Amino acid sequence: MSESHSEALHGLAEQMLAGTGLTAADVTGGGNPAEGSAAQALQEGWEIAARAAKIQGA
Amino acid sequence: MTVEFYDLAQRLYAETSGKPVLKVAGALFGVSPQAIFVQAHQDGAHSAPVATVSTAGGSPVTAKGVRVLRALAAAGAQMDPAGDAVQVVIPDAATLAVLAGIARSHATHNDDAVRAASAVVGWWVDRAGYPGTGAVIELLAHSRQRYITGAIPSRERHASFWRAAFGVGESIAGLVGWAERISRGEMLAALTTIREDDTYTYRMAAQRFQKGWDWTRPEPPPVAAMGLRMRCDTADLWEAALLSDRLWRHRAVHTGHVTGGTVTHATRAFFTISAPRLDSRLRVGADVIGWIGGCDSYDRATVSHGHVHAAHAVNGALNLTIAGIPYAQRPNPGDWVTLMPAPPNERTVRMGRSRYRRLLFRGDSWIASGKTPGIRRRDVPLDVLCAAAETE
Repeated sequence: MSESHSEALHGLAEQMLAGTGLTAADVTGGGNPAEGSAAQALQEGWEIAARAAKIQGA
Repeated sequence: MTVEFYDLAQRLYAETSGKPVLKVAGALFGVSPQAIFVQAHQDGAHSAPVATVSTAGGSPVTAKGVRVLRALAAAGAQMDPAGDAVQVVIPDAATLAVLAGIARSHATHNDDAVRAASAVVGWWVDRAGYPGTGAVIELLAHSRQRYITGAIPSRERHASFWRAAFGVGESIAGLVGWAERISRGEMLAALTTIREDDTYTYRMAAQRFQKGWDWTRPEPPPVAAMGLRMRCDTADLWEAALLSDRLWRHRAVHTGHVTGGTVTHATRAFFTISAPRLDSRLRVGADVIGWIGGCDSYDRATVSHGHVHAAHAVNGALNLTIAGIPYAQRPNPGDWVTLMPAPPNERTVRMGRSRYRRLLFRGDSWIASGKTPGIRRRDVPLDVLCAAAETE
């Protein structure tokens, strides 16, 4: 992805995470966030994406 | 719902890895060896639309007006009441709109091949309204359904963005490469019924064509009513097919379609789970399937059918009571159970359609006759009266 895509994505991330106390870096954050929380959704989204990347032909 | 955060994390992963990420592991379509690849554009309202037509490995033909239909006919767009559905692969919905415009203009052409190609386009236009169809493969829509990228969502609305993401060119060869790229993997088995409908509706359209029916004319009311019924069935089958996918199921937890919780109570007739998420879409009376374990256990667990008997929010958790599951398959207190909507039963869908078809095409059907039914007085159930009063 190009630099402009990256900037736009990080801008979107900042906007979406405003008020949650989270940042884009929290996608890989450890701990055990509460079920149904934004932090848990971020971590699971990242984890499943990593798993999807291993699927052959992905 | 937390799906926005889930998707955001997937976008961030795609950005880091530098390539699109699968949202659905299984393929959503297969490219037929006889598929017709088309890209078309119209530069302005007053200019003639131009289309390039090809088959995989064939020589592309670029044409305008009626020659587009001749090129489609030569590529295999014919009406055969005993044949297999003709598949078209297009980059976006705009291409189909251009083709439809050309086909409408020549629907009553005196050349049989042109008229047949026009009718095939008419059938494609209709099938495009059925999610999961294998007749019309719109690559932009399929790319957005199956993949997510490291860009903001608005960028993903353009075919050129996806071509660049998959490293395929703007030519028709690029279209072939794009289709190959996003159809990789084993196709979701749950889409089989929709594919059977493709063949059935294609043969019905071919029969109507042979009888001289002009596809641009409004459909007879019973045919239109049957189409509406099939669209509803197809939408349900499509949703169920997606939920049968191991990656999509994880996302569905964040949209409330898939719910999990610990069994707190079990009797011979019911069991109750306490779900930590309150945003479940499962309602009382909904048919569900459930299994012991998390999302990933679906493929190896015993999947049971039941229905939601009761739903209550208690101390920040959602208690769902499930009935109708055979006693032998009942989970025990302490087990983690995952629930999601039950897929439509294919046999029930077929029987329901067959009954509906019989009623619609009967001589005394008021839809078939086009006459408004007369007023008849009869008792109205109390709950219907209450519902009507509430909406007043």
